[in-house]
Amino acid sequence: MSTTTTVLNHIVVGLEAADAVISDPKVSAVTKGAATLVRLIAAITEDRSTEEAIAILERVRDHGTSPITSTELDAQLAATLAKAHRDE
Amino acid sequence: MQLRLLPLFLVLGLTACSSCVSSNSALKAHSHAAETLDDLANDAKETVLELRQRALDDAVARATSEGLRGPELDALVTQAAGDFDKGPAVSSVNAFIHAKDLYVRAVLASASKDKPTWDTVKPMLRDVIAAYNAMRDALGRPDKMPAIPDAISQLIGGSS
Repeated sequence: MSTTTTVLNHIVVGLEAADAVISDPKVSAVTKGAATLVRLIAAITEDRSTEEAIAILERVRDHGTSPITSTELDAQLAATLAKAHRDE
Repeated sequence: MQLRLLPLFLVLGLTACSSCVSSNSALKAHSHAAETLDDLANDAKETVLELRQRALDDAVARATSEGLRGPELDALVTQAAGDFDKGPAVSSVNAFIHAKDLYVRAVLASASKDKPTWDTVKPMLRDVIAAYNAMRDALGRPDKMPAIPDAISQLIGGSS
């Protein structure tokens, strides 16, 4: 196994470990913040072409997390009230 | 919530300041930063919606324990929802999400070989105004942050 492959394998393992920490609900916000930084640093060393980078940026722009809308808030309230009435 | 989001805004601001995309490595770094910011935005949004759900469930439990039913229960739970929405949580998360969108659009615009057009700039201005308005709501100090004139909002096609 070449040095490059070994390093890349370690990066992938590092990313997976950081992801596991970030998605663990029992982990504190500080640890999650540290894991996010580690993930960012490890991810930057990953191989990614200009085209891939632009495609990812466009995906985040077009399909990324959208702001909380009043429709979402109304739906949550309606669902809670409906459940409360069912339980009455 | 505002204090917890402050480091995110600092990271966003620092990253945006360095958004001179002159090389592949810079663009690559920005794509990773954008993904991370989007993940953080998603986590923050889920957290706020969970907190709101908990507030609504608490209101239902309170109404039930007080023997309220029907419209009286509805009124108490709706009031709890209104109180939560008036607080800084929803607005803070939305300000962060609009700022993230602005960052991504700015990186893409600077990575493009073409000169930015009005159609490129307009959504960015919309993000700026939406982030400002959300931050204004979150801080609850309209005296310190004046409202954006309607004429400007209309010029860029309104703001959410």
